[in-house]
Amino acid sequence: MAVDSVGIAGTGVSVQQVEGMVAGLDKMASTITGAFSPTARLVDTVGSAIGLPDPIKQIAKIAVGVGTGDVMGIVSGAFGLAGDLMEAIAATQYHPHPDPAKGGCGYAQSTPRAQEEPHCAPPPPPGCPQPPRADPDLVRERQALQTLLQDFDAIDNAGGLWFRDGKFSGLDMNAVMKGDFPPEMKQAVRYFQEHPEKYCRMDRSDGFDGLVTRGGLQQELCRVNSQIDAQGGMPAAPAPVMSPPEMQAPSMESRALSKLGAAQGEVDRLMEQAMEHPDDKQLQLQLQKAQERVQALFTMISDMYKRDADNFQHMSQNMRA
Amino acid sequence: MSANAMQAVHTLAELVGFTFEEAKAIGEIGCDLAAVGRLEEARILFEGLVEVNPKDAAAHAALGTVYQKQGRLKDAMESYATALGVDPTQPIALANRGELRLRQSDQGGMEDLMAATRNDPTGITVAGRRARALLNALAQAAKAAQAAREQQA
Repeated sequence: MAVDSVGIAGTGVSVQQVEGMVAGLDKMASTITGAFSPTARLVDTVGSAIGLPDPIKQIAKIAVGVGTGDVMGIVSGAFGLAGDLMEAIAATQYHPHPDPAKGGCGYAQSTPRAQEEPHCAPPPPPGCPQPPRADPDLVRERQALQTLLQDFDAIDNAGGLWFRDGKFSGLDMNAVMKGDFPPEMKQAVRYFQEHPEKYCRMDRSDGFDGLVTRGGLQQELCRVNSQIDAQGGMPAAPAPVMSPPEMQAPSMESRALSKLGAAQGEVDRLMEQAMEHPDDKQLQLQLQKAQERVQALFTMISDMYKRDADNFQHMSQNMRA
Repeated sequence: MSANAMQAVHTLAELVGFTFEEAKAIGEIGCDLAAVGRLEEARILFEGLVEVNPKDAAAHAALGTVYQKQGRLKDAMESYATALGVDPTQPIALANRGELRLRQSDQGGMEDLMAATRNDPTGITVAGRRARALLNALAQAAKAAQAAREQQA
């Protein structure tokens, strides 16, 4: 790839097009980038005075690559710069389409398994209130907001500017993630790093400046609380909460996962054979059974994690009571 | 995932009553496992998700990222392609495939990155933000090179 007067050669994309796209991003996106990009924030505030890599120098190195026609040099240089600015390569995120009709395509509409197995979750006796329902993600957001409020002073000072200014930023949040802070603080910070749009909502109290005040947090907590109340209180189906995986001993879940991996391998093998011998009824039957086995294992694992989450929640509630 | 499975009218998930909410819960566990480096377990979970519902573009994309971290680049590219076959706007598949293609000197990577930023305009996904930063860096590099050429001329 070489850059010439029409742009990035061979790509059909002009420099103006790329710049236009980048420059055309709305203010929220810029705020997000600023808030979650340690280098960008530091360059904005204290520049290279504290010894961080200077992006300008890197751009110059990239330009040398362009000038000499070193295609991979240019791309690598740009990757290096982007790497400074952004999160790790290929971060694993499960991000379904925001429209549930599209994101949920191919899944069952309701929870028939719960209806099929009433003995697992008996309905409340007459007169007892129905379990309240609320979006589990909202409940997680509330938990994160409460933690940030509780530990506000610690987060405010995490970035290390020697004094508290009553506000925290993406830089402070990054410092929490990298520093020696309690796991619940890290979990709360991680939640907002993974949901930058929610971070931006907290930042609205005094205009978009990438900084969050205690008031902004409280305002957002009130909003989330009222939403949860409107939905009926606690979550109906909380997402599984795991203890840190690296601290777990080999568990039932791990063993089941291992079996699932083997079963999936068997399905793949049989599927290949079935494609080679489409008329082999015996093979088709074996494939069907193997697929059912994968499904059963998968459902079992899902139920295990759910039970763990339920137990964890009951324990938490009992400890609070 | 075979073409037959992709074209199936009903998925295993639909047949046995596996819901979107359950898939999201499994997806989160997979992400947590991948985040702490337990890639084999994350791979098994996401392979399970695409097995029960081959129409889940997000699961294919997430599986691609796990393959990519494992160095299984061919499998990663296939997963991203499958994800985009289901949902051509899937930003994680677009951003990561774009980056992989650029690293392999495939100029089509630029188009993927631009599509990723178009489809994730507010930077909701990590991949979308990374795509934007990468485009920004490429644009700056191009601009700097133009300036250098003009100076030489």
